[in-house]
Amino acid sequence: MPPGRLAVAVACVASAMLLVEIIVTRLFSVLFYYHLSFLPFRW
Amino acid sequence: MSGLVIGGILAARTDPREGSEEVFERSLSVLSAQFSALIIVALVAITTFTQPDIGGAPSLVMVALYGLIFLPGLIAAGSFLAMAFARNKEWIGTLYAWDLVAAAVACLPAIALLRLLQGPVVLLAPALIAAAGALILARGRREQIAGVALVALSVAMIAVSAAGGHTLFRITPEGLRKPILERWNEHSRIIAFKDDSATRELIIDRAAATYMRSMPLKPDGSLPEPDPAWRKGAQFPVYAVERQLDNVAIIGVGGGQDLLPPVWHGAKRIDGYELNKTFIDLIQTDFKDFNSLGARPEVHLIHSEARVGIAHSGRQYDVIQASMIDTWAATASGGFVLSENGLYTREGWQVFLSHLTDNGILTMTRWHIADAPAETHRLLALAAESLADAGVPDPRGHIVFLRSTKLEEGIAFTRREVSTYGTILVSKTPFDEPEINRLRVWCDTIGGELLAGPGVPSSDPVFDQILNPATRQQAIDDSVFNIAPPTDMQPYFFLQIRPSDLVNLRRTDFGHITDITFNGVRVMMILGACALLLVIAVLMLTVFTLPGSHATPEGRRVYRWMSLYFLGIGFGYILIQLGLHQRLIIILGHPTLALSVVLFSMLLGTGLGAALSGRLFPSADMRRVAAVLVGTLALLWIAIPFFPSFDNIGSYGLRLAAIGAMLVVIGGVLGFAFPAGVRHVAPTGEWAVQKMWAINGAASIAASVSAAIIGLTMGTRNVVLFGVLSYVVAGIAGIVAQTVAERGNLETDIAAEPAPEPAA
Repeated sequence: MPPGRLAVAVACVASAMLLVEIIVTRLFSVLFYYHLSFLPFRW
Repeated sequence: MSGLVIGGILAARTDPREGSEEVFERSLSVLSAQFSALIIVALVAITTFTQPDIGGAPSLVMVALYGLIFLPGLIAAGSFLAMAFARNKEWIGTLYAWDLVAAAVACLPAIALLRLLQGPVVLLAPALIAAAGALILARGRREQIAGVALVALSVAMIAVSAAGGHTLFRITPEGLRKPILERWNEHSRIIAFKDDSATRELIIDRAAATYMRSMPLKPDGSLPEPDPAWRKGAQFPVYAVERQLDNVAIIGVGGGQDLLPPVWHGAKRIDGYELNKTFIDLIQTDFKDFNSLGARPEVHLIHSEARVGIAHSGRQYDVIQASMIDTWAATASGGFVLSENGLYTREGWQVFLSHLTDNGILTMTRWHIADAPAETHRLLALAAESLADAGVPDPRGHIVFLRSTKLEEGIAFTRREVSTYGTILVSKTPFDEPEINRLRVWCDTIGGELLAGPGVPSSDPVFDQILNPATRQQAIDDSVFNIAPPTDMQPYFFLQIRPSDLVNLRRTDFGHITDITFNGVRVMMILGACALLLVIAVLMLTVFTLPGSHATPEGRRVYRWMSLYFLGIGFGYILIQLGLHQRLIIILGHPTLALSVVLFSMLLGTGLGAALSGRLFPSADMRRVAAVLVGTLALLWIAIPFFPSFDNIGSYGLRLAAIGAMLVVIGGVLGFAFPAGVRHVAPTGEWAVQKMWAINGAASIAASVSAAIIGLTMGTRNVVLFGVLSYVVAGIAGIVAQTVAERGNLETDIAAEPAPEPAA
């Protein structure tokens, strides 16, 4: 088993990454038209 | 996603399996701190240097530049995860499960955070979480100080923003007056402008607009009298028919304009379905002193996606009306996956027609551009086919189409063209001569024109061909536009160009509306080509390099086959996820909820599957893993046509739970693949896992664009089919790799290699 703190830190980075992707999608919907906003998200 | 790929490649320069635990954790702490700091830098950059104008489609360069702002932080995060996964292959199942379950859990507060923190400042939440990750692994004083500083900075800026009325970081529209209100939620940002004393303009995200008219309560608190001006808009023709129309359903309330004609007409009950809660709040609360529509007893505002809401309303309506419902609100993968799309399909119209009374009328208003009538032709084809589905084989007596006054601005294929609003009326009971005469009188009054209907000489021969059952299919096939009636499997009403038109029309001077669509397709195809090049480049970087400093010939063969395996599962996972999203968005209704449910359930299931992978497949036998994966996905593909059965579950909560449970199971099975693959590839060399992480990420990028392209051209079910085929390819590659390893006696069993001892 990995050390607990490593697992928690991985969880922090993974959740932060997903939040960034969701939030950036919303911001880009304001900056661009929608059908472009998901492309940077996936890129 | 590119950040993950680049981060994986950069992480492959080192061997995370060596070195003390303290050095390893300090390295990860630094990467997490960098991720946190770079999110804050990106937030400052995007709000400092951005002055978006209203209107105009952005260029590919602009899109790429904004994407690059976030790339450095995501590279740091990608390096962090690649290094963490490569430290010890015995940990992979557990760590991958933590990674995915945490990502799943993050879907839940995303909506609450957007509502709570209001605007770009919400990016400080992930910055704070990443800083917490850095602090957890900080072993030295410098890492601890950095972690504490980033946590403190994030918290302080969130507090300052909240205390200042959410004005710390803003994306300000250029050239407009100062908004009197700005409101963010999971659907949109809405900014309100005081247009003049009589109107407020409400801008949704970049440029979609709706208006709110001044109609306060009288000084004595009574409701204002209906105004004759309310009967002049494109929303009014249905009432000019003068049938008994007491119960009305409005699709998309917006600023309340569409509620005015039925109020003027004297409807007894008006149900206003609105997807975006902000609009309901504006009418009922924020602007209730400016506009009293929310106080009218006959008006009922319902927060629901309209198709789902009407389907489960238990009501029969005399009018179901949708006027210019086209915010282009994409809420799923790629482009053109719009929240409005479910309104313009044959299945959607079956819901509407079945909820009309016998004399009821379904009416929709769209752009009508005489020189490029793509929307009009498609709307007529949709109406004719939907009536046939409802048992009315010859629609000619049941459809009326008229146009409103010509507008001055050019809209579509050339800027010289003149556009109008076109309104269609559809009824299961034929329109009679007196009704047609009343509509003709109304058109004369407002400067419009009756273009199609029983006894009306058609102005466009294609109208007649579409309405005639014998010639309809030929008219659809012969059209220069894609005017085929959309279905739920391919619900892209607004995409009226075909992929081949990208070449045929590349030099065409587009107007504003068409340019939005065309540019989106163009950008998508370019990005599709770029994604393919990225996958090829990453594959070259990995397949033609060594998996480690002491790689054996057998190890290199296993490593190359496993590259194909990780390519297949990366590609397949995203195709399955986005295919399901495209399909379920229509069944679940709320697009953002659909996104959250699909993401949360699949990630949660994948995390659980990863955690169970070691127990269910102790020797990571690829034959068994591949059989379970492909078998389950084949069943999923067979089951897709039966998805509308979810709609028979009366309770929305139960419906949500049933779909979520299905997705957890699917995600769980897909979750077996990554840990099993890591256990096969890790023994081939110290750089192998990081490189597989990069391949997996690159494949995910290519799959996201591919899902949009396949969905648009071949439909949702084929997106899933390509996902299944990707897993078939991955399964074959994994079995071959295992066979090579067995013949070469290459160690693949996880238990054979002892884990490094944790530091004391």
